[in-house]
Amino acid sequence: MTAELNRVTRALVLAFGIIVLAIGYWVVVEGGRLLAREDNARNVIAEQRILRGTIYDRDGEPLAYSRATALGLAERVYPYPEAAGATGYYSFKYGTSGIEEAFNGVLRGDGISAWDAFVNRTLHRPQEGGDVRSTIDLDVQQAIATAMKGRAGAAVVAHVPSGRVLGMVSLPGYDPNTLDADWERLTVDATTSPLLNRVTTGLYQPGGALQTVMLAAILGSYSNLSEEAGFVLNTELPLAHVPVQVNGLELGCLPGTPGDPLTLAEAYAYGCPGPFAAALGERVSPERLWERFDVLGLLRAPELAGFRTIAPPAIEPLGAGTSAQDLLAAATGQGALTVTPLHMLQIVAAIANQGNGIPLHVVDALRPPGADDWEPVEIPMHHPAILRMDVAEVVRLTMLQAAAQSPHVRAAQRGELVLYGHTGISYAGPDARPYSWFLGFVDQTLGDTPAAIAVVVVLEGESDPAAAAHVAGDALAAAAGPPP
Amino acid sequence: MSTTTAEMAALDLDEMDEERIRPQARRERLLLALAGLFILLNQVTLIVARDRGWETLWPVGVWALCAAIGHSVLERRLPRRDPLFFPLAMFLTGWGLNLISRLVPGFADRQTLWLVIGLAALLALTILPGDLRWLRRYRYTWLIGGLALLGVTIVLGTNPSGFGPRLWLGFGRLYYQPSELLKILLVAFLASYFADHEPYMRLDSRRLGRWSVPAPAFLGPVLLMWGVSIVVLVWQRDLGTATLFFVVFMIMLYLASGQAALLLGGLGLLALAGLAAMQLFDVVALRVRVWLDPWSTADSDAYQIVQSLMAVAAGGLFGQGIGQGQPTIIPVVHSDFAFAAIAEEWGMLGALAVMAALAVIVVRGMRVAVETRQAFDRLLAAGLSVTLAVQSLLILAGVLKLVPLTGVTLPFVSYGGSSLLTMFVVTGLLLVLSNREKDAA
Repeated sequence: MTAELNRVTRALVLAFGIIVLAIGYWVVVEGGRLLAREDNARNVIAEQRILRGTIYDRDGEPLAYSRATALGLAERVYPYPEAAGATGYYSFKYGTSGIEEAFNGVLRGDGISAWDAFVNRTLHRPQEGGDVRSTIDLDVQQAIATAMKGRAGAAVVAHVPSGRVLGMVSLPGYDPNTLDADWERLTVDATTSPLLNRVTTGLYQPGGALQTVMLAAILGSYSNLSEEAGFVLNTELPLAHVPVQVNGLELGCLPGTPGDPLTLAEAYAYGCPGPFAAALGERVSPERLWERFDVLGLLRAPELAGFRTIAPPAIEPLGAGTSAQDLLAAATGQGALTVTPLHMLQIVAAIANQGNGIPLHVVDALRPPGADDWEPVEIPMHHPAILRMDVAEVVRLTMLQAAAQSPHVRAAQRGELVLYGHTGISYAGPDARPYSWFLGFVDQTLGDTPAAIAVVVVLEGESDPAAAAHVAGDALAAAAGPPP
Repeated sequence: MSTTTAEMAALDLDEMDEERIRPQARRERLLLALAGLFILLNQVTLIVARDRGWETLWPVGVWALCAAIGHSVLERRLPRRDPLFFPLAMFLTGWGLNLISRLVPGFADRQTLWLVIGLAALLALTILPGDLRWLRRYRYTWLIGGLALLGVTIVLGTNPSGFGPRLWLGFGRLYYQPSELLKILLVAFLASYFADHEPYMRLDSRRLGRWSVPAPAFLGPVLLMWGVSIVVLVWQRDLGTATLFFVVFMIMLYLASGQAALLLGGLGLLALAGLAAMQLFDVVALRVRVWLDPWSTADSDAYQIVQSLMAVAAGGLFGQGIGQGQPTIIPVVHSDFAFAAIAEEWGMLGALAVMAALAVIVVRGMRVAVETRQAFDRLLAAGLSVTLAVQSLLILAGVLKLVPLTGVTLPFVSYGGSSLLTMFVVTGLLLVLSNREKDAA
């Protein structure tokens, strides 16, 4: 029996040897493939343990931060849900948006060195992300959110010429703290679309808000504005009051317009579309207007460093072949062109900045994990001129006059701030739903350095032209701060 | 006072014995101390890593007490025992306690209690007559008693989880699985029967083509008893244990008869039984399907085995560290997949250490079989060692996708009182046999 016992012993030892080889196979040969599988829950847990960095407002107030739960997983906290329009959301299940999306790599800590990553892995430390300092001013953000009173729409405020976005609100919004629980409700209604950031990706009919573009185009058709601007703006236009028929809509001056003959500047102040519609073909050719749309950036996605923005749907260029009805629609902002509030903010900012565009951005500094000092985010220094300086100056003065004359624009006036503005109404959809627009800025120039706070507000379903101006006024007052 | 020559000679022998025994005892103490240090370090690390209270150290305290008492009693009762069996069994059990504290902290107290019960059973065996006649002489009584207990389980059986096969008998908060006891009783029965008939089995064989097999008269009773055991286990859907019985039976038959043809035939029968089981039992068909291709159903039927392989891969060479991996992703990890959890948190090195400990127990058990003179002792030592080895190999190979999963536990390590108690009885018998082997020498 001894021989049989020895054989069985050898066979058993051999079997244990095969098990050793099998372990080696799964660890060494197949290990990488197994661990990289999508259904490897360990990757999911590692992802859920990542302590994303903090998003601060410009004054160091945390707008979003992560904390570890009792289970060792990370929980994202948004102390000010009203800042969601800027911060966006982070959800393990549904992804990211806003700053969370634009600076995801930084916030996750993806850029750490291979050595730090090795040490973290070895010591089982959760991955820690870097911090992000936004340009958002929490006071401005809260002021806008309060002023909008829950109405659907969008508002964006930026400093000129730095391009720092001080506030951006999109309503209806969402509470990023409860996003996972609310997801079904947030995604079920395509008409209200709470997850849509209306500032950057909400496409609106510009309507009366396009009068600023038309005014700039008309003024641009004159080569010597220093001499001709007075004539262009102050000549009485007998048919300025006459409504314009566009696609079944009757577009007229805003309520409260005086009955006297109006100048172009007054027509602009009171939102009368007639003179602007008439100018197309007379002073401004369709091709010229199309070129203006292009130069002003209305035909492409606006730039907001790191953010996902949206280009308007491609439309037929305006030209000799464009029908009269389509030209009329284009001149009154009721055509195929749609814009985001960010598009309009670029134009307003250029008017406030002597015709130069500004580098819009929401984040100005980053701090790597564990570091004390902030590292500035590289902002493009090249500010392309999108308006002639003299055109920008005259439009600026016209907006100042509008703020003085129009009761609707004046609704944005707060204290001693020097207000430049324009209001307009647009209509969209089969039921011609009204949208109230305000475009404007307050001057912040100190010495020779031009500076301003620019604002664009659009309220959905709102036919009161002063409604958007009220919101803009509160936003501008919060951004400009108390008088020096 | 004067002493006779015979007394002098006896005194010299005792001194020689003492000199031989002392280093063995020291080695056992040293191994137990090292095992204790390892288990203590693991438990402390677990407390720190998972932010547990220090009171969760108490299972290690009980373990240390068991180790000290066990060593002390074994020193008195079995001075010539093999010095590796007890430390290795305690080492694996202690590691199992660490693992259960980590995976299912609520079960740690019960497993610790079973350690105490297991040690008591082991020490009780050292008090019984060392020639094991009580086990050999009443082989039919023991086996029929074990089968009766299994029969009672069919009627009164329960499952501590509240669902699944009802393989346990409940005693208050404790549950015992009679099929575990049957493992030992069947091995003892086979050892006893084959020991009585071994010379005749080898001499009186029949030709079957180019093969020779023992005469049916010798195989009849043993096949009958073994067949009843298998039927009862299949009835209970305890197919893992049935497979274990089959393989152990074939190996013991080979050891007794010396006929390799029986082993080959047995393998063929096992394959046929497997095919039949696939047709008869959905669970077997499912396990074979999952074994052949786990990847296509990785999120459903094969979730457990795929997650187990991922755990092994995640452990790498050195492991994630106790409390730092994610083995709890694997369903029933503390029972069927304890080895995968060890591979993840202690790495390939930890897995090899567990396997080495098991393999050393098996090889030392086989050595006891080789070195002892009594046929019953040889077969019993070999049968117990083979049982331990085959059970280990079945679960290790299952976890690593070398064979379909069988649902047996990893000896000493997995959660389960019945299994632990059985393994301590196996260890106790091997200790007694090793002591007898030295006595006889």
